[in-house]
Amino acid sequence: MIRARGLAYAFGERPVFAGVDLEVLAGEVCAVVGPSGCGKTTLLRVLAGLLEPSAGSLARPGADTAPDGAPRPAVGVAFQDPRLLPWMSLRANLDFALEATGCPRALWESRTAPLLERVGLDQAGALMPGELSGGMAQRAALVRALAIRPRVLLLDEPFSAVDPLLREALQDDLLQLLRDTGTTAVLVTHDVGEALYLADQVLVMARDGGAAATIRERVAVDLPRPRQPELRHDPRLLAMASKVRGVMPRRRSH
Amino acid sequence: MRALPTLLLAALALLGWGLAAWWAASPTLPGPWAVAAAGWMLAREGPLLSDLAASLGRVSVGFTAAALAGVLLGAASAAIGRWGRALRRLLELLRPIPPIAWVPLAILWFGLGDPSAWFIVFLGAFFPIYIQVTLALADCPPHYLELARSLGARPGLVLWRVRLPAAMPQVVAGLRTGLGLAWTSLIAAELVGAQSGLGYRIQMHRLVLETEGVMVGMLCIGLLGAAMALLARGLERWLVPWSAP
Repeated sequence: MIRARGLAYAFGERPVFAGVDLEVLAGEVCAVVGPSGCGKTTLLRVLAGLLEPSAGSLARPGADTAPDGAPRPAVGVAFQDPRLLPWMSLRANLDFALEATGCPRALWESRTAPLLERVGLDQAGALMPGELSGGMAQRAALVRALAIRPRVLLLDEPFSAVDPLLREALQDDLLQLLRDTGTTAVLVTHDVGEALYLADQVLVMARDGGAAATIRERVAVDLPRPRQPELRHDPRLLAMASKVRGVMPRRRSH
Repeated sequence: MRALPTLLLAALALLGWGLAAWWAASPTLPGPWAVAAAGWMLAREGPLLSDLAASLGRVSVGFTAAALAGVLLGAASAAIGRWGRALRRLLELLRPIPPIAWVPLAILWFGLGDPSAWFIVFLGAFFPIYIQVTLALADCPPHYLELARSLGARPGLVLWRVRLPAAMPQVVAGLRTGLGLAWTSLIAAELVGAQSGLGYRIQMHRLVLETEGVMVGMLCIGLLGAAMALLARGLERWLVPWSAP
């Protein structure tokens, strides 16, 4: 579904990452973990097509048509900050995304209403972004990324700004939404537990000294799906987490 | 009760003014009562209201023209790249000239009347509006543009739904500054180059040493300026509610 071979990116002379191989099958969730500043977000931007890779190959699915007849974009991105446009209501923000991807107006309501209800925002459509709490804004951004029904969803630390309790609830929401829509996803996070709970495979990204970052470890997460909340404390997940933390540098190396 | 400190301070200022006038006992410093009485007289029997109307009319015409020209030229400068930057540099040369310095030329070109006042008001208001519009359209926050790009939005949709609304707060701020400068430029222009209006009336009262009339004119200018600023702020809250405090 999405396949990268020897992918690299450099800001001018400074390499960010290099030699990244990645393969995510349809319907799979892949998580990329690593310390802050290791280039995870840049990798996600390259996968999204917002940055041109400096080397390597990247195969992504093309846009096609969704079952309801609307164009289905190849990728959708949920950025680390919610990026709701402050001059539009929550509903108008969702409609803007649907209009931009070419979804016919008649389908907008059916695309957004079930998602809003799922994340508890069905009464909040008329609110302006300035009136939303941090958690509500992040849920709204998630709904926006899902409403356009991309073939691949790219998520950059989508729950970083919410408190731990809400975070777990949102993780469960995301899993259910991905399962319901059969969406392929790549998730970037620095939270190892979150990565293992959500993903089918976890890639550990890190860099040595000033060199380009690369994938240091791959972990196949063979835990049952659908994931249940108890799994967060499952010994198998905890064992995998300590293995992943073992290869992650404690501090950002210079 | 939020108005209480303001009212108290105003009462104190009036008291201070009254005491200073009583102590000076000079026709060059009339007290608040004398000025209020003169204001009442001028409003009922004198030309105060027609002067007010003349000044407000000139500000409306000059400011409207400046707003249209500033927004259109500003948008054009932002849109056409190299030529736009050249136009902005050229206009930057004219900007430091205070509107009042244009008055002699305005009188030569347009005579002593409304057109020369319109011209001065236009010059006062145009530059801040034009500059703010070009800057606002040039600095759209990149993360909003990236969002639009990630959704594959067409350029037209990005312009209407992202670039223009993102620029609005700064454009409205430019209009507000422009309105303030339009008003001060107008009064300055009327002091030397008009035959009606508040600035002209102040000058007339000075020539016949009617200090009360001078002060009535000044207070009217202050009150009208404050009313316009209030109106502009209300308009801002209505037009760009997401950025207004």
